[in-house]
Amino acid sequence: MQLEFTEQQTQLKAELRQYFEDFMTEELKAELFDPSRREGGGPRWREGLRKLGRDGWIGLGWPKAFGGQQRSAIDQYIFTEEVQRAGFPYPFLTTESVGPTIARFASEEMKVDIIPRILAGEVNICIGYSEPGAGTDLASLKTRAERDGDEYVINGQKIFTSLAESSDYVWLAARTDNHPDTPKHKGISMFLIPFDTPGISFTPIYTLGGVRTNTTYYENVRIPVSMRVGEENTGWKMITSQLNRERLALVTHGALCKLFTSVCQWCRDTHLPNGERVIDQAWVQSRLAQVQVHAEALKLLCYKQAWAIDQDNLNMADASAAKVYGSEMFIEAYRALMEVIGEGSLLSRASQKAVLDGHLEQMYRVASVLTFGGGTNEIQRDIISAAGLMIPRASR
Amino acid sequence: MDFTPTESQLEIRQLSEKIFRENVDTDRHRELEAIEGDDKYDARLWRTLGDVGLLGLPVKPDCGGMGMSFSELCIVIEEAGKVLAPIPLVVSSICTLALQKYGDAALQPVLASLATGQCCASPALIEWSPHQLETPTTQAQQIGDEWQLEGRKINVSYADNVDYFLVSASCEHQAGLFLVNAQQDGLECEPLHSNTGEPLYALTLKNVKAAQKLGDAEALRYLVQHYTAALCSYQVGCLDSMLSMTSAYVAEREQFGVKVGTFQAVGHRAANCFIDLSCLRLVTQQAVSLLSEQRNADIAVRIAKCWAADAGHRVSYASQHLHGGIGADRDYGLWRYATHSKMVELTLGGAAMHLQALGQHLADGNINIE
Repeated sequence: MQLEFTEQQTQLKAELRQYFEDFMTEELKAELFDPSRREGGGPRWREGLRKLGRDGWIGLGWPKAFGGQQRSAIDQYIFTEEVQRAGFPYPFLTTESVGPTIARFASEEMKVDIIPRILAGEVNICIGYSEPGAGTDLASLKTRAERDGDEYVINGQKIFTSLAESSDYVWLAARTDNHPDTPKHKGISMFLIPFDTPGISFTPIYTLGGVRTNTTYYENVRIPVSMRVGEENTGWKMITSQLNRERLALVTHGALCKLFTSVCQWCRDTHLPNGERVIDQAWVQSRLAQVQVHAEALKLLCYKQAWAIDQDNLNMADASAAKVYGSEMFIEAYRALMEVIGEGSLLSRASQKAVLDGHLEQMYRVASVLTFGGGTNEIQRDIISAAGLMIPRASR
Repeated sequence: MDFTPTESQLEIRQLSEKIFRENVDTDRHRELEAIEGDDKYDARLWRTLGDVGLLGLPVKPDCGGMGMSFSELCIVIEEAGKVLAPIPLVVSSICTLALQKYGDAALQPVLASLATGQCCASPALIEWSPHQLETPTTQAQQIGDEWQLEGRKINVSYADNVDYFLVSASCEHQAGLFLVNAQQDGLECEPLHSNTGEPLYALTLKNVKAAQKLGDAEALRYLVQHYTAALCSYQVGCLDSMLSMTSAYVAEREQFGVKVGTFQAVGHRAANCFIDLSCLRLVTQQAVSLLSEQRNADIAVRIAKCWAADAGHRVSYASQHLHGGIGADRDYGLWRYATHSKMVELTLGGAAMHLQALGQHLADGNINIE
């Protein structure tokens, strides 16, 4: 058992740390400072993504057959952690979920068309899963795709379609079998549809975190059958097969560690009127130490999962445990860090004198989506209870 | 990075699991608990472990050991925690480690008898004044070539059964660690009644001659860190059993015509325990692995102890609660785990004390978290 990085992994981490130092230019940071560009989609962000593609980082974990580097899941995790630490909104769902699903299930024609562009950072795909009436119970989605000759006609509405405003495609889950006797998760198909197809429109939703997302509308959208991925009615498997990997990307600890280090530094550098440093106060030390103790456990949970993915024995309960633990710990950690900074931590990034550029203030607002996003924590706890502890679950 | 246990680690786990399962059950605990006086430890089990070499795992082969590391020892300790093995395993094996590292050549026979289970040892570190492990009030005085110790210790495990003590004492503001023969004149041993029922003693030292000074503050720190990490490993085993018992119970127990585990409130509380235990297991493995490699482990050990304390508290109370009345019934085994997890929580400092020490490191700027 060896719980630390190998030399090669340590080097990769250092290389990426330096790479992103140079990568995050002032211009890119300025663009990301704009709340509507916070999650990407702007011209400099697109340029950055293409650079990541050219430099081979997007394909880090992809098979060589697709032009990737076929590196280990631990290497992939190190990349994930560093890109998040750098604050670049990386489209994990495109590169780690939709991409691999297309690689596995799509027609040769679609693979040849799309995958090289994903690995080159040239294509943006938004995710059309959630609907106003289908969130945690995603299988109850109502958007319809009706067969009409060689075409499907799509009607419905999706919600929280982030980055729709700058996407080239939507990865859409729609119902293709509406028969009352069909179990609802067995009537869903997946489509990859150019976002400029007539009949698609969207309106913005502005969120607590300052991040813009969208409602998207599909009105008699006509697409050729070739835009369906995989067999008809097999979409559920595609949605769920990547979930455990996705969850890992949600709770990497890189961004928290960076912020924690900055807050500790701030507490050492900032003096109280009596000359004491902020960090000389016992309660401050205690709060900070608690964050460290909690973050250390998350780090090890994530490492262990990345390792388990490499071993091909990722345990469902462990994946859910990391997701629940990480998402809830972030909320508590940001709270504690704000507490030690005090009222100054309420000032947002727009304020000239914001402490640590208001990062903390924003992180705390953004973090709240993680406890329900990516599979709500209640469902994750159900999974832990059933799959990890063999406790019977109620039928629903 | 590799979380795979080695072949020999797997074998050690299987062997110790088998021995503990065959020797320790609720009836055996009751038998020992019924004994009045001092012999509340399972001498037969102790000899068995010694015979198969599990007590000497980290001891070098020329002293009767297996030449392995602290990591292997902690596997046995974790398995012992699962059954709350009534033997001085944690205390004696960490004394053995300290003797191996700091004792001189004359102590090799002692080391060999510790490694094979022919004798055992216990640390005497804790005093009435709490949280002062590094600055004991027990005094050591050098008289000629000899060291004499004077002071009082509490919570000394199995003091009436062990052959040696490792005693912490201060000498001119510098802490030190001393080996004391249990038969030495001037030692008084008085039984205490602990929450677990495990034999703990108060030790009074009146001009007690030390057999040897093992080292100064560094030796004491070595002992305390290994002791702490060993307790964390024991806690992993202890909580693992509590959680298994609880999961099995709520999967069977019916109320309102359904298994109580099907209530989300119940399943989720158990899930929280699963998360706590996963975290404790990993931070403990990290601390143990750093100590095994003789790397700086101060921070990792304190982090592990914070988890052992907090997770211990939460898993224990959740288990009690989810069992309802049966959990409190002394005819059912859970109560025993509740007391042991509490003992681990507080021994060598609870979470708040270690947080304070970690916080001091942060204030000094000598932690770099990645």
